[in-house]
Amino acid sequence: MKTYRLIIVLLMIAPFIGCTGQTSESEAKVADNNSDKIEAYYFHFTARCVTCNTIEARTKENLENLYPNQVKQGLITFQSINLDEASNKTLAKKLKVAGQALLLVKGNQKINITNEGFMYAVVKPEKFKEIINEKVDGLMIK
Amino acid sequence: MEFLTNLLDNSTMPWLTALLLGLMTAISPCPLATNITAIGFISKDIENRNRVFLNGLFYTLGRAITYTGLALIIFLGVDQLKFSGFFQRYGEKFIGPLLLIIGLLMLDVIRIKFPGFSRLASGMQNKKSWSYFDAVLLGLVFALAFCPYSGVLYFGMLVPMTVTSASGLYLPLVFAIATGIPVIIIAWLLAYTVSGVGNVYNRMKTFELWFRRVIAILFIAVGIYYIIRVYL
Repeated sequence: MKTYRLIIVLLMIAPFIGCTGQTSESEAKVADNNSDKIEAYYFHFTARCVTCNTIEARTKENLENLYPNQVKQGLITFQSINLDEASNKTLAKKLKVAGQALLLVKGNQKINITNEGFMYAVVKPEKFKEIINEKVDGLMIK
Repeated sequence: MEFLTNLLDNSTMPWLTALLLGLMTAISPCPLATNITAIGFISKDIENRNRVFLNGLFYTLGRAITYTGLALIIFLGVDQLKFSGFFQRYGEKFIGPLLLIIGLLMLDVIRIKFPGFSRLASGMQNKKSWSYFDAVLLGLVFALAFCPYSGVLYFGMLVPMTVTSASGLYLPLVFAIATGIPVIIIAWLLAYTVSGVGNVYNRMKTFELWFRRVIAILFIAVGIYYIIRVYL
């Protein structure tokens, strides 16, 4: 009888033990992958305008010029993502993006610099560069 | 543009920010094609400068209805993210086919009896059936055609300012007026110049008919431009 009870108790607890074990493992993995890496994403639709293309080009260029080593090592990445392609839906959902957006992501931290991009990338590229520099530096310290 | 950006950086007054955002939307190359079409449409009554000016005001009113309406819907609690995503995604997609159809209707190539459409494109001959309602309708529809740049300016900057409090709901109106001002000015200048020329040659009536045909072709051309841009 005692062994019977023990088995039942164990069976009841087992799923929880299993679950908690798994979560901590996968969390650790995510943390491992993302803790140092800063990912810049530019989300757009198929039809684009001059400003949009400029934002993409300047962001990429600024990251490469400001952080050449990190970009080479893959610690800072830039991706341009088309929201009209079905394959990108998961990422857009994960980052809670529905329209055009310029995001800097590090782990769970997310900085949205879409407005700054549209304001300054074309008319004040220097200011846009400063903003990128400041935000990326901020993410690196954290 | 840089001048406007500088002003915007230093603006602490919401109404001024809304005004500047509207002006930036109006003069950016992004919605230029719709603005040119709007100028053409507004100045269709070219023989009457006052009428052109009033057309411009009603066109702006149409834009104001759209901008205020959208802000109000967001203010009332619709999912802002999905809502703005929808307009940024589809805003430009309907405008091409629509302009093409209006242009063809204006030329009397096709005849369809839609309550809204036929008003917008009522035959060129019976001038009296043109009414200011057309201009309101056109402003309403054109304001919905968000291009990438104006989409961010409106949904990313103006709407957040607007929906924080009910007292901000006048801001879309200021924004709409600012997007309409350049269109009104150019249309009026056009009417002012051209009506002078027309009087000299005293051929206003023929000229007017041809002018309207040119506008119809303009609608078709801009419609095709948008179709190519968005679908091909």
